[in-house]
Amino acid sequence: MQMNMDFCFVDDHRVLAVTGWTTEARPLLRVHVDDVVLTPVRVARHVRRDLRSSEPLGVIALFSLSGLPEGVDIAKATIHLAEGNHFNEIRNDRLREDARRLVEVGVDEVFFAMLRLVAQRHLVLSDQDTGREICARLRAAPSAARETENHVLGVDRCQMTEQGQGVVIGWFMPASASAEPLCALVVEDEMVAPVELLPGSMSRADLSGYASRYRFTGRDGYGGGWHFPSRPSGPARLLLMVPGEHFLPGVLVPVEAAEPADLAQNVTVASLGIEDIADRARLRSALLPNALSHSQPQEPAGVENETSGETLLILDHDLADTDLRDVLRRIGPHLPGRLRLHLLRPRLNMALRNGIDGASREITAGLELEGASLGITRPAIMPGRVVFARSASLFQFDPEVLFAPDQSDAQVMLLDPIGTVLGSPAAEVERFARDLLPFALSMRGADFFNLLDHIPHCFLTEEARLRLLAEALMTAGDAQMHRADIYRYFEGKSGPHCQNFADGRDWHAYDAESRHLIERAELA
Amino acid sequence: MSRTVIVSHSHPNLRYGGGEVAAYRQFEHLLSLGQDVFFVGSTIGPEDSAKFFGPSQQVVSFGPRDFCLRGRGMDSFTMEHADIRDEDWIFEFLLALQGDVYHFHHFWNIGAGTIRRLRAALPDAKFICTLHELTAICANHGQMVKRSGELCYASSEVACAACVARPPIDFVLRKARMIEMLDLFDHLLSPSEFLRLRFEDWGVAPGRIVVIENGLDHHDASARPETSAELLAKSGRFAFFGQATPTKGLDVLVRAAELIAARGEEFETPLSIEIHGVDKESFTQMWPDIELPDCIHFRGRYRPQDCVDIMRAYGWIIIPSVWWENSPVVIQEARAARTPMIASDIGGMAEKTEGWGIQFRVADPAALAAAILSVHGQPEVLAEHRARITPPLDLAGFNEEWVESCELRPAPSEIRKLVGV
Repeated sequence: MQMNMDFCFVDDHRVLAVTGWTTEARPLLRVHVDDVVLTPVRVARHVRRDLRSSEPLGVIALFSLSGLPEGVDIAKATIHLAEGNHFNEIRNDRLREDARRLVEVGVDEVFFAMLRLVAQRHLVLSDQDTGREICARLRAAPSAARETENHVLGVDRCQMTEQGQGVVIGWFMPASASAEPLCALVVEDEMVAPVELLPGSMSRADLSGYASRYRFTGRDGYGGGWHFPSRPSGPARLLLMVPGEHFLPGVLVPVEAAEPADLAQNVTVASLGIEDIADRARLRSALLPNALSHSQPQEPAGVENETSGETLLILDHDLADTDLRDVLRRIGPHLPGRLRLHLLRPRLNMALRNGIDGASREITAGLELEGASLGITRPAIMPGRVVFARSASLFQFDPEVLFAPDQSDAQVMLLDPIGTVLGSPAAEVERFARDLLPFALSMRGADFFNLLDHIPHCFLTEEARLRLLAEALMTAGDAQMHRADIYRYFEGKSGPHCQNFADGRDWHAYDAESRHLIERAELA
Repeated sequence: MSRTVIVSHSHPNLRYGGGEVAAYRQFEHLLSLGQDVFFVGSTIGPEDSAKFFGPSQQVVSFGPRDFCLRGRGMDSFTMEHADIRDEDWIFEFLLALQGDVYHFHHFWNIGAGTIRRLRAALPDAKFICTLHELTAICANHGQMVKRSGELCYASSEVACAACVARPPIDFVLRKARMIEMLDLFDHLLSPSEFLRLRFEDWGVAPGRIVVIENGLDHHDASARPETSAELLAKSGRFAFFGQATPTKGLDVLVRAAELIAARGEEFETPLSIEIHGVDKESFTQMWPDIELPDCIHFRGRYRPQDCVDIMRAYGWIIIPSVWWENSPVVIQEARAARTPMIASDIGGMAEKTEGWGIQFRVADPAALAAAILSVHGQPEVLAEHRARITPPLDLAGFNEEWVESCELRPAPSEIRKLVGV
């Protein structure tokens, strides 16, 4: 019997999806695009209650269009779904519209089956309208039970940051083996994102008590990660799609809000429980974008509300809190005008407040606290110059050049022990990233924020973003380089960025790993 | 007439340490000369402050020119006030005194920030600092003794980080802060050569520090010559003056006494070692495993002003400190009492007892026992060492040297102005 086609659409990765039903156990489906014949790359079956059968008569067949010869325009080509000698023409306009129609009017089982394919990244539907429709349909959907006679599912942690990076950690035990994997989607008001789920990747000997009812392997823990392509507008829910569950979308779990560092700690702990290091990298990578948009130096733009004599110091105070006063005092004599301070700390404590107050009594040019937070925000009134440094560097580097007035060029000062002995500029840029060389950056305020806006917020520290910015300037030859000639340099070990995660690495090392993973994904 | 403000980290009415006593003696002496002088001390922490101060009280006056500030307990690592408002208050108070000369004895409880701001506010005043110990160099209570117990010969960021368990960078900042503060003083004084050399090795420019002993007024100890019998008896009488703190080395002395007792010798001249300043209970609390031999006798606390008279009753005073010491007042007091000393062979003790004392290897009970036995029952040795003792610098002498070294003598033109010529 020929397949009955319900919907037919093309996803964002040039995969043609055909949905419908057939009584054939193994339908021999083809798609003819003009003269090109495509066979399915995947056929997923599912039960449909509307067909009054408990057999998996429902079909979603996926055909990759990436192999089509150049010049074949799918929007204009003649397209047929074929099965044996039966041909069924597909109107081109359906390719654009059917995905939304499926979400709107498709029966639940088809909708859920499609979601499963999205969760497994076989289908990519990233346009916001479809995402919004999916979210709307799921909003009213009931959740499947976490524990049934067929499975038991635990969720230990399910968290996401404001920027949309999330992680889920839990465990899953089906009653019987299934070829279908546990998979998950994360949904918020306007976006749907697949979760990179690693079922069976984490040792969980503690679950042996369930062995009498479910399949116990000792490695029944799973971890999963995701990132939304842009900052979510509101709270999110995780949809864990359990194998064999065709009539409900899956187990819906609210996603808790988490601070980036807390999330990173949980990811680190989870990673330590994953034996396969490739899986560890997959989990970490799932939280990151696939590419970094490198800042390109731009022509200086005219800026309103700029106070040319003022300096905004973005300071990662990595020394004892009480030493903040001395760090600020040290730069006092070099300031061309008032100093505005943005402290990269989540909040002020008494010692920091005291340090700022103490320094303000001794800095004649004036000192004002602009803010204290781990993130950098564009100021309402643009300072003439922005300087970024860690306190340890600022204290041990010569601050004069960083704060010198009337400098139009960006200034990068760095400590490069190898470069001091032998080095070329190109190698210096490479070491700058690889060795996390201590550095300070000073540049025109407007240029600084214009460039920074192009760097994604996927790191724990702002320094990781600023390192990319400085690197872009160095690579383009748009920064004056200064080598800090210090034979004895000590790194700061205080402040939030120096806190260690469970694997002994601090926030900077965590970010370096993130960057490495993104770059690896870019190359892949 | 110029106004002098003596500033001390503590007040001898509340605590009786060497630095604050030297500071207060200087104040009293200048006052006795009719000079325009103020004394500003401090309580050393919240416990002391709570005893004497009302909740909002910042200062207590012991006299119209004698003040004690409310100390909040300054972290000697940072040497800064934890609350800027406390610094503001002390700064304003010191500024209000409008001194021409500010002589700081120590900077703990006063704060580096206070000194920097006062210096900036009074660029024409003369700033003097007496370095009473090594706090600027050493974050381990300024003693240059490692937490492992070893003597420390030089500070470095890495060595100090290992000792005090803080990151090396903390010591980079600390040293920069201390050097900057010391640079603000017109004159730096040290009561010992030892201390001067340590500061110069550390980074203070050679020639910046002038050595002036602390002044100690005393009456003549050579009123009556002693008989041979009296000298013989005294040659068996040894004493310790000090506190039961681990660095004072009282345990070394008692272990030495144990070794002597263990020899089981019968002495013709009885040998006794008397401990002043410590009672038996506090000793056994601190060193519960040390057995006390019969020759050890605890005499408990004494009044500081009685110290010299008490010392005269002994043949030898023992100073077994296991840290460097700087210029211990007990050595000056022994000189005033014309009683020779047996001293650890390091730092200020070696320097200050040179020529009239006997030195033994620091922290070595056997060496101390040998030193005690070498002079025990030897009246001629006692007389010989006693004859070599010179009296300590008195306050008038100190003042002379202070005026000279700190260039405080009025210029001839100012003198003429004063006398109306």
